[in-house]
Amino acid sequence: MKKNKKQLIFRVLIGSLIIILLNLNGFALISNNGSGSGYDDGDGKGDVKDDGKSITIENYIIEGSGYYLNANSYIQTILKMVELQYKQGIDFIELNKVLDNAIFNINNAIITYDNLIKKAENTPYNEYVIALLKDFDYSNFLIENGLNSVVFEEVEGYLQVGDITGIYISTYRKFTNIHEMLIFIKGEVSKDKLPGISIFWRLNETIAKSSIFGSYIARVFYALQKNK
Amino acid sequence: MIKSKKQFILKFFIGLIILMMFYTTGFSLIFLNGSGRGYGEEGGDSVCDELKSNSSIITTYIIEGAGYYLDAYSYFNSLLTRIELSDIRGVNYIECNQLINSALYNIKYAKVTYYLLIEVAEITPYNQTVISKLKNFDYDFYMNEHTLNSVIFKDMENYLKNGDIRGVYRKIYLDVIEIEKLLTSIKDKLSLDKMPDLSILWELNEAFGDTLIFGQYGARVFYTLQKNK
Repeated sequence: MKKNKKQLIFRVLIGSLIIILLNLNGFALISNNGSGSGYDDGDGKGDVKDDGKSITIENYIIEGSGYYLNANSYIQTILKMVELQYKQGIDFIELNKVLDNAIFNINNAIITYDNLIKKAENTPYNEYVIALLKDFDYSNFLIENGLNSVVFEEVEGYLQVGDITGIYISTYRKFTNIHEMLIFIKGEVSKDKLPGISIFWRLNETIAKSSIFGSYIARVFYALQKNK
Repeated sequence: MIKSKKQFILKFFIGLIILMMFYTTGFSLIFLNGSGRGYGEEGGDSVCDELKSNSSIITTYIIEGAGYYLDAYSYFNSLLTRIELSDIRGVNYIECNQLINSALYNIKYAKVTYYLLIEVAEITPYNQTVISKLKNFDYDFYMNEHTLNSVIFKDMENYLKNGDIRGVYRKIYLDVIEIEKLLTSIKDKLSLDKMPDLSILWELNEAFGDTLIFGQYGARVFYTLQKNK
């Protein structure tokens, strides 16, 4: 009888802990969010202090996404200017400004993700969340939500083996790729010239794929939280 | 001899017109561009001039629609930035409402533009030279060569390999209507100073991205047809 009571208390305790672990602030947002729960004690926090504030993995994700989404907004404006060039002409001064803003933001996203990766590499995984990721029914989720299988399979490739840091590294590479393309475009635009159309296509596709990739990751972590 | 000369002049003339039709303004750009070339017929009479004029209108609508679409996506990304950072910086609902209104304004214009585009496309006959090139295009090779997203590219291929350019416009139009619905649902929440449901933000973010890639794959194919003429 005593043993049963102890077991019940133990179960309640474990259950409460799991619920706390999965209820993260900043969890339920746009890009890569929630993946910080896969580290340490599950709150996405490490033990590093910076300027008296605890810097968390989840905070890096939110900050990085903020910069990335801002860069994306400027990139859409660049694409619009390129699209309308035959109708409205190109204002190279304006285009240079928008490009500078896009580069500034993607550069900050890269720096943030660089810090995120360093932090993630020095923080042990939360094995409970990793186990949930490994047991997640990716195929069903893909079909149920009508997701793009090519992008989702890339996400699944990382998550089903519990490689959350791999996702950050992949996102970091996408950002550096976008940065390189923007720098190339800037090189031409600063001479009042437009580069060939293929660079704009690649930029557009890379940024669209990155957005979908980040969104799918946030979706999976959100589903884990919801199904807890 | 005279007959051969006449045939040669006729062929030369037709070839010249085809070349001119390939060089429509606003061809080599971002979103669906170049597809206007699939309309109108070769020839030099007044009917043909009318058709060529429709082809030019189609191209203009495509550029205008894409401009509105890209603007809407830009505003939406600005809104997402605010929402993403809301846990750190808080939410400025006045600003968020302005951004969603701007996104909606532009997507509504994109919708109207695509509607007009479909109307013109439906009364303009296809350019059979371009349709024949679309039917003979090596889609698999192109997709692998450029490592494109197979799900989205196959979707585009299904329209183009059947010469169904109007179907592409209709698909974009339906996508834009769906995007407008999602934006309206976000606006309804924001106007009450409430955060929209996360699932709608994801859905919209993905819808914008998918449609953009779809339209761009169309522009890529038409650009390649022009390059390989």
